[in-house]
Amino acid sequence: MILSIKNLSVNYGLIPAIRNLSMEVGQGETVALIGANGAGKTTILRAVSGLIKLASGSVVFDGQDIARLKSHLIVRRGMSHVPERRGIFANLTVYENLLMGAYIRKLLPGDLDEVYSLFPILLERKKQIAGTLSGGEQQMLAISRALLSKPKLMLLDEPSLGLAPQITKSIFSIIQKINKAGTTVLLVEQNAQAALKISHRGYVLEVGEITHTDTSEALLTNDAVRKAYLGDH
Amino acid sequence: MKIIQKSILLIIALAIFGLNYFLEDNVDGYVLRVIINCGIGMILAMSLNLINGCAGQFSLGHAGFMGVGAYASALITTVLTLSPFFKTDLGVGCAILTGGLAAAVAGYLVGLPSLRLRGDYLAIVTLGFGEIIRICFLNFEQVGGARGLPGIPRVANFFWVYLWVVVTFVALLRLLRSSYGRAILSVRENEIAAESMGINIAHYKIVAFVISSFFAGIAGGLFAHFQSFIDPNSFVFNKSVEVVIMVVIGGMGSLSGAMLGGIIVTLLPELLRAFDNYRMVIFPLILIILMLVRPRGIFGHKEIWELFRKKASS
Repeated sequence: MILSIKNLSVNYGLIPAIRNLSMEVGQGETVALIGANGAGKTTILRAVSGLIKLASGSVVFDGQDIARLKSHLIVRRGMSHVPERRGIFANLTVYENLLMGAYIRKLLPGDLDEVYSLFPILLERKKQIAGTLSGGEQQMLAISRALLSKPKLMLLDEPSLGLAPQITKSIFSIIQKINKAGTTVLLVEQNAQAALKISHRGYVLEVGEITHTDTSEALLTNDAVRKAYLGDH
Repeated sequence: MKIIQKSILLIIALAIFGLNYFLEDNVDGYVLRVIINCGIGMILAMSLNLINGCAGQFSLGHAGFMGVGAYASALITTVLTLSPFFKTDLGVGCAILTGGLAAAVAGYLVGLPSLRLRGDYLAIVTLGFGEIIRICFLNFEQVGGARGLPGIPRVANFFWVYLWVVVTFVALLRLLRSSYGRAILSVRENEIAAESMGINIAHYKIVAFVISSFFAGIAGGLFAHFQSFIDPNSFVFNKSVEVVIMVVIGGMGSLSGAMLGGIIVTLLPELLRAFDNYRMVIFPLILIILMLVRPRGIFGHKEIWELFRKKASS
């Protein structure tokens, strides 16, 4: 297991957001975490990458407990977080954004080419101010930026947010590609269908607790899940 | 640094040196005074630009840092009669440098709350700091209290001030072009994303404060050794606001913009002297019009040479 979360609890003030949650991500897997608005998906990702404090529980990443580590140190251990709403540096150029991705390591000559081959549009827009990119392009930039830190595990928070179905599709197929190239992916999504199609396993989250977990194929055919998340009536 | 850049800097330094003698001989004392004040304004604006423009923190205490630099350096050259060395040009230079370092220490202390506060709240903390500093000077009899500190050797001339303008400009430009500088910019852009890149936000906020207040302290030291007299009233809240105006007018995050802002805010009230007391109405009016026409400052986020490059390509 590259990531194992045990008995995680997170509170916002007095209000518990996540209660006693446990989940695992194996080396080389793509794991989808799906659930409705406010279920706590983003909270889990933020707790794992150290952006918010946890109330209790342990997070073991690559054999070491990182539960109380600061976020910028967790990144150095090989976990990269693509935040919700992409979080690109809007006033910097595309190129500068990419450079920031490689902040923790020395940028090697081939690194940028690798990213440009995944997303050729970024090469075209290299000198453009990132805030002027379309939503899809910004998402591509955010993913590329995260890739440049050469993570072992990549956390993706709602990559489909606000994107047209066509663009979502192409982004998801690239996520699949990234996974096949050896990066483990933990994917948080509201778009359950799309997420389950490209993942190996899935967790279904409801108000801070995991209600179902199975292989993605099984979840896609699970009646309860279909009714709640896949728009099947 | 490449040899070409080095030689360009050397030429600029020599040019400033030559210009110094030219101006002293050929230009009216009042005009020279205004020119030097513009230089001090530019250093202040460029340094504040690092906090307000680049790191995205809102500081309203810049006069405080300037005051620390001014008093610390003046203390060395006047009150603490350490050695006659501190009356010479070089000695004063060292004193001004010490003033900058003292301000940097103050910047570190004020930078600490910036880790927990942002926006208006941070502005209030820095404002408070500026006032505390001023009131301390007001009450320390050793530095003259309300009467001020007279008899400071008048050493900072055109040459010294503009040499520091160049040093500040080059240092900050090179900082912003480095990965260090990009990290500071990314803190302004998006703190969460910056953290996800592995950037220690706290570290860079403090660094921005320390570097910025160092240069503000230098500006203060130059100011003291140019006026040859300082009193706590030179570092009131209004002065901080003035520097903020310089940065905002020029364009937040733009170094060349900050320089232009420094010139405008220093020069305009002087040019408007013909209007007598009305100038304090006309001056703000011009500022309002400027902000309406260029809401993001004259240069926006860009530098002046980037503006022209864009025009050339399109």
